[in-house]
Amino acid sequence: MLMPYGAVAPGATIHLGVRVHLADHWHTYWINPGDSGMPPRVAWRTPPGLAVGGLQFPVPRRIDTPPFVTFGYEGDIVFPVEVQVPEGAQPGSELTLSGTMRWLICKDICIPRKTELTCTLRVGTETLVAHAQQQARIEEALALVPREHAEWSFSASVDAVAAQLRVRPPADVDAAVLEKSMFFPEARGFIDYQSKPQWRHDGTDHLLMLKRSGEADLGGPVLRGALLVRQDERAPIVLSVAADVNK
Amino acid sequence: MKMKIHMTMAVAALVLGGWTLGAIADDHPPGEYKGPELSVPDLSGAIQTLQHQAGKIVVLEWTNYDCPFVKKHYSAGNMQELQKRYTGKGVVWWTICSSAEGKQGYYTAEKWKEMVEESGAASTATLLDVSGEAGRALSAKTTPHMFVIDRDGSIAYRGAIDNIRSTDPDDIEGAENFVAAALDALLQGEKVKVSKTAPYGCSVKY
Repeated sequence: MLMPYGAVAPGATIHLGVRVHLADHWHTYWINPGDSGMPPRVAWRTPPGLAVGGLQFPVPRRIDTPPFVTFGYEGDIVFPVEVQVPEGAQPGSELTLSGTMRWLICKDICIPRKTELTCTLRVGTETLVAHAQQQARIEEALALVPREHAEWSFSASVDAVAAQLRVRPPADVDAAVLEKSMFFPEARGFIDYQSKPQWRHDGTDHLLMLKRSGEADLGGPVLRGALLVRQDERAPIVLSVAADVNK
Repeated sequence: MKMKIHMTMAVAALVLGGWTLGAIADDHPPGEYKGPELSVPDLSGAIQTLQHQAGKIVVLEWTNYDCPFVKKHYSAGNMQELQKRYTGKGVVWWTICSSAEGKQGYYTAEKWKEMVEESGAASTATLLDVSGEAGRALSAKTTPHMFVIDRDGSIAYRGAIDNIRSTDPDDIEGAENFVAAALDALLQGEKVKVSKTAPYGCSVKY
C-alpha cells in the first residue's frame, strides 16, 4: 500500500493507494471487466471511527483479445482509497487499517489472487506528507478517476438494438475532440464492445451511438460509464457519466 | 413476431450503418429464438444433437476445469449438486468444453472421463466442442456461461450462473442462482423471471 503520510490529523480526509504491479502482458480489471474477468474488491478491517471507502478505479484501457474485449489495466497501477481519520483520534496514537483484496490477473489464462493489505497511520496534530513521491502517484491516479463535471451534461435513450448517449460539452470542446474520446460503459453485457461506437453531431449536442449486445438489459433508468476525452497538449478530461434515460 | 424482429433489425442496421450485427443468438430476445443446430461429440465419441432433445428442458453449461470461476463452483460441489438435482427431475444437462487443442482447459476424451469421475460431475453428458463451433453458435463468452433451453427449443435463460461475480466459493451460499430459478420456473410451468444476464468468468478458450 502507498501511505505517503508521516502523520495524520484527527478528522482529516486523506487518500492512500493500493499499488499493483503486473508483469508484462498480464492485466487486471475495471468495474465492468468487459466480456470476461473480475474487478478487484477489498474487505477492510478498520479501528472504530475510521471510515475507509472502496477502491477508486482510474479510467481503464480497452484490451482487445479477439473475439473478446475487456476493460482493465496493465503494468503499474494505483487504486486510490479515501480514508476519514476519526475526529476523536488521539495525537500520538496509531491506527492500523487492514484488508483482504481478492482480485484476478489474466493474460491467456487467469489466476485469482488474495492479498493481505495493511497500513498504520500515526495520528499527529497536523497532517504531514513524508513520501512526496508516493503522494504524487496517488494524485496521478486520482486525476484519472472519473468525476462529474458541472459544465458537461448527458442524457440517453435506449431502444431494442442501440443506446444513444447525448453529450453536451463545454464550448471549447469540439466534435473533433469528442471523436477521439472513449466511452466505457458500466453496465455489464449491455453494450456490444466489438462494435465501434459512432458519433453524430447535432449543433451543440453530440450523440454517441452504441450498439446493444442483447446479452443483458441496462438494469436501471441511468446509463453510467466513464468518458475519457483526450486533448492535445492538455491533461485528459476523465468524466463520470450518469445519463438519465429518456422514456 | 419473428418477422417484426427482423424488420426492426434491418432498420437498425440501416440507421447505424457500418455496424455488423453480432452472432444471431445475441440479437434475438430469449424465448423467441429457436436454438441453432448443435451437434457435438460426447466423451464416447457419439454425436449429441440439441434438436433431438425436443420436448425436454436442456441446460448447456460452458466449462473449462482450469478456470478459477469454474473451480469456484466445482470445488464447492455447487455445480455437481445442481446437475444432480435437475437431471433427477428429467432435465438434460450438457457440460460443454470449447477449449481448442493446445489452449487452457483442453483435454482428450480419455482424460475428461477421469476428470468427470474425480469431480463427481453428474451432468447427462460432457461434450467436447474442440472446433468451437457450438460455442460460437450460441455466443458462449465465458466459463461458466449457462443456457437453459425450454421444451420447444427456445432459450429460456442465458447468462451467469448466479449474481455474485467472483472466484470465491464462500460467495455461493448467499448468491441468487439464476439457472436454478429458471429451471424451477419451467418445471412448474411458470414464466422465467430473469431470462438474461451478462455472464461472468474466464473467456472461452476458442
